[in-house]
Amino acid sequence: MMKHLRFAAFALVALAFSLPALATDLPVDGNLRFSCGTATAAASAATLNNKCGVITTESLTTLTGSEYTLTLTNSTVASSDILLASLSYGTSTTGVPVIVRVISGTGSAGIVVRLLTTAVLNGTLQIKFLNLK
Amino acid sequence: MRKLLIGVVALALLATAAYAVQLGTSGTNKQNQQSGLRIGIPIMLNNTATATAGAATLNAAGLNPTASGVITTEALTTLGGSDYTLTLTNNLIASTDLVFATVANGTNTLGAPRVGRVQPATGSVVIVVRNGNGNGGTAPDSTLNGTLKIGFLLIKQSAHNSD
Repeated sequence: MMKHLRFAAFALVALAFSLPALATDLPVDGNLRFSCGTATAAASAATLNNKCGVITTESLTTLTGSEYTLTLTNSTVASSDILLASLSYGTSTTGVPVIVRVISGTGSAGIVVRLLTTAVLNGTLQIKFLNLK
Repeated sequence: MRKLLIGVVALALLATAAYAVQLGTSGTNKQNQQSGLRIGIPIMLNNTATATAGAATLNAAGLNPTASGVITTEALTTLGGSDYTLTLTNNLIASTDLVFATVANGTNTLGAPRVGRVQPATGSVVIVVRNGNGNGGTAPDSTLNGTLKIGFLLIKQSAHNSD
């Protein structure tokens, strides 16, 4: 009986080493994977507490030659973090928006978008972010 | 005999654990040995391609991932206030992915190129590079006079809440 218990314990220890590696979403295919989330902005603000995600802005049809600042409330963000941001069209199909600044703060970030054309946006944008410590 | 059997089973489990950490990093299968997370820094394969007429291809082949890379554009003469659009074909990319892009000069020495939209789709991504401020600037920017280097990083959204 004791011998069986000893063997079982040994096998469990081995499993204990195995399972975390199997459960962790490491890039077995060379891709980087993160648990991202999505949120929709209202009045230039959104809340998403994931380390990466996609924010759909409100419709930005009035943005002409000026900047849109998305304030992202995110508890994972610290002022010393490196926040990568990227944008793409959501429902908008016109205009040339670019990200000009990304400002990390404690628990929040500001992502500033500028429109570089006279052609205005005609819908939403999607702003993607990844927070690196 | 039984102890030996249990030992073999335990070793097999540990070997499974080591293999599960990263496919292709050990034994005779080491294609991804330079990829993955090492001391918190993602070290990616050095994938490169050269664009022709605004298009380039970097497809994953076998176990060689192309989740990042640097595309050298063709020699550009993009006017100030105009766009260069690169369509990158990459079979790893899905429309829901997060793709981040950077731009740097290759042989180009003029203008003010900056990344605009980065629009992923199934099997490709469109990266728009804007030369200069357009109507937002006070003076027209110079025309580009050479190649650009466009870097990208692909992030997959995971459903496993592992970060």
